[in-house]
Amino acid sequence: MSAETIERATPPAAATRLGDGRGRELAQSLLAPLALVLLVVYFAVRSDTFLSWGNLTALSGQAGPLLFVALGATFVVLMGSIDLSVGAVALFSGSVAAWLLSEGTAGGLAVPLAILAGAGVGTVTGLVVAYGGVPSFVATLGAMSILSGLALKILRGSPLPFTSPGTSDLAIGQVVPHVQNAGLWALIAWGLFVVVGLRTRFGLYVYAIGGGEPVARLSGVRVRAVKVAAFALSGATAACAGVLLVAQLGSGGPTVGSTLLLDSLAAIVVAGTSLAGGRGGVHRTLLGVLLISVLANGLNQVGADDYTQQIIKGAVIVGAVLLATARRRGEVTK
Amino acid sequence: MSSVPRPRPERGAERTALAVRSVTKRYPGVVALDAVTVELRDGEVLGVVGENGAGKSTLLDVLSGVVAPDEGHVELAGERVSFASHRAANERGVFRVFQEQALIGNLRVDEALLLAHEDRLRRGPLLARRRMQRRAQALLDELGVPVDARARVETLDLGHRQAVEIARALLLAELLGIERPVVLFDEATAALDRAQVDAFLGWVRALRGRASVVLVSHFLPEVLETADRVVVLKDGALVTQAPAAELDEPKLHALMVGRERAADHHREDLQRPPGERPLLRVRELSLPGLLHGVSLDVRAGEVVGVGGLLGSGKSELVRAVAGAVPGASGTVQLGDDPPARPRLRPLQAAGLGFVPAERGAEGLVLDASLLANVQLPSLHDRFAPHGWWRRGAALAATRRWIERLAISAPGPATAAGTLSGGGQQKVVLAKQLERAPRVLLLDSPTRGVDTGARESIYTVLRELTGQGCAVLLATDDLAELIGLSHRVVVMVRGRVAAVVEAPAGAKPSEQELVTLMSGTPDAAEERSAA
Repeated sequence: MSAETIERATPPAAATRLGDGRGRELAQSLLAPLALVLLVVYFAVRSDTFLSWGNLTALSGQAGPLLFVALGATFVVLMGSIDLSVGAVALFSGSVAAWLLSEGTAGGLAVPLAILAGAGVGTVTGLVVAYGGVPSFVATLGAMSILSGLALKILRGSPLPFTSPGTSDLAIGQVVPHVQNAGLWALIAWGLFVVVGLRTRFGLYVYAIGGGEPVARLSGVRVRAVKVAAFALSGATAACAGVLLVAQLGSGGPTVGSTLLLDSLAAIVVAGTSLAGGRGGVHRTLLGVLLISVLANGLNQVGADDYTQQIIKGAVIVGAVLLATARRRGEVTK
Repeated sequence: MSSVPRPRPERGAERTALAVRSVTKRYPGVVALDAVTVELRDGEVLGVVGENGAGKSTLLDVLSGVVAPDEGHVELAGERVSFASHRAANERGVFRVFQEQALIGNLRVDEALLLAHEDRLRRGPLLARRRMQRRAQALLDELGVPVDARARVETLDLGHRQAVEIARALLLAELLGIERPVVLFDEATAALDRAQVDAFLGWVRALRGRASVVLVSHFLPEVLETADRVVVLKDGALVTQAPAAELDEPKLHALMVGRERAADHHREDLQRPPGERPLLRVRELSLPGLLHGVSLDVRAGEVVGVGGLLGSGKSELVRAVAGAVPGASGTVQLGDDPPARPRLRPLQAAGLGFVPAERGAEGLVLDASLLANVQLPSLHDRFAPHGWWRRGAALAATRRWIERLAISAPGPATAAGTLSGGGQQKVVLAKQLERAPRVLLLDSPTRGVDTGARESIYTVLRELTGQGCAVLLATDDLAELIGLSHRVVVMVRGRVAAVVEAPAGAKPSEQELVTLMSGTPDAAEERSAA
């Protein structure tokens, strides 16, 4: 009986296994690499210095902090939330590090403490979002203001220089020739985060929450705990970025991290992670970070001023979302 | 299909897997379950049938532990239980497959199958992806579900998603060491097409002996074919439970309906022949994937009912005519106005009223007062025409409707959300009636509405048509569909399958409509021949 039933149960229309439907995603994900190649070619033609070793090394140093920020933030975006406080967390943690170092604390202590501070701040934000039920938009907007204020208090409103050769080396040294350590650490962290995103339970839950939070909760996923963890991670990676920036400069300052929020969001979105959550991933974010970094660096090389850069980055982020929305609308099913 | 041998329940099948004992559950204004005792025997398929509002879903809510009964209790394998969550129920081997499917689209099938339980397949910090995939695939193959475990859930059609839900129950039970899980299906076939339904029922039959199954369904033939025993609920009470072999469709039907003809209820005495002139003309209305070239006319003074199973497009039809969904093509014409693509605001300005199904989400601002709700659609032209709020006029109008519709509320300042379902629905109606519409569209206007409020809604609709208003009504309630309508449009998969005349005194039977709704006669024949 049961064998017969099973045979009968196979609907004729679907005699073959249903395909895995990732072809469309592949096609979509080719857009960002194409844009990157075009940008590189364009800047290489327009500027003699763009492809020089010196500039590429500088580029690796610029991309490092941005990549760090984008790593944690990607998880938050994947959940369908947003972390607007990443720039402020970087400023705050960088300021904490600068203050500790200027007070003579050893780099080996100051750096972990500053990162811990960022993770702690992210945890608090996560608790407010997950248990307080405050929309992440509002909670992180508030955190942004609070942390900027705190950081400026620590700095007393002006740059805070320090001397710590070890710390500087952490950021601008070159373990691998022509790659600033800041970029190297970020790349290693990226590798780790890719594994976390694609191969661990935490990563799976992040996708599940982004795809359908009520369903995930019904299935037994501890949604709130996952949210807190994701915000804590975002805080920690933003703090890493802040510490690296301060270490690169040899000084804390009120403008540290001021471009990180916009840049990281642009990187995440350009790389194809959906602001609605559930689609994309950390594995893609690297490409977005490269794109935004090349764009910023290249514009500098061809002599575009900061204001022009602001205009272009703003347009890029809105354009990327527009493009993603248009593609979604074009899908036949859904 | 009747030739498929029904295996006798095996030995040991007399053991009770899951039971509700003397369970009563009340919701404001309605007794959803009234001292109901139902036993699910080990390894059997138990069908549960009843009309809308009979208590089927509440029974499942209680069985799966999401709702605590006011009286009585739930027993699992003879032991009293109350589950704190779905997960807790799952861990005891009770799984519910929802009408709105509870799978996450962006996950892979194997991920969705194991969600929140993937730890049972891994040892280290990393997911055991290959083991997850193999385990999931093996089970899918064994069940005869032609799905790749690596596929994204969103790429599957609804039928295969239901199959994945079945597989999830079996897989988790296996991992949790539960011998026979209990699987509860809530109208699982409602959104499936014929081929999908057949495949799905095959999978359910394959569960017999491996799981104990509760199958809640509107569709009587499929319950009779699939279930060992059938429970009939009516108005929250258990009417009967009997072996499926002793029942047939007419019997079940009589048990489900079990009331005198509803002619009085629906004020058939007030049903007048409609005028000649079509007031609403719908032509070639389409909505990608949902509606395919629907055309219909509603004449002055006529009620045209739209019926169909869930997923037939009846609700979408009414919404599309109202211009409440983007992406519709085709035309809608009011009276002698030129035909145009349906757009909500121009149609409303031209005298169309629309009562949406979701009164909490679309019909009312629940936190706002009755006054605020009633005046809302009329602010721009009646109650605040040049930006000045004519509060007195709005207040008077609201008071008039409270009185005329017998809305039980202290006054116009009462928040709409504090009213009963019936009261709220009357307010939604009042909003539209204040606009004195030429054409009124209603989507499930009496869902979750008590009998008293229903009757006053019916009376108001009769009065409206008496004044020459054209009414297009989509409803799940068969008695209402037949009782109120002059003509019934039967929708099947987004197309008009039949138009049935329903003049006063010569109404079609529910049976007749159900047959039409469940597919073309050809398909039905094919099905019984299979």
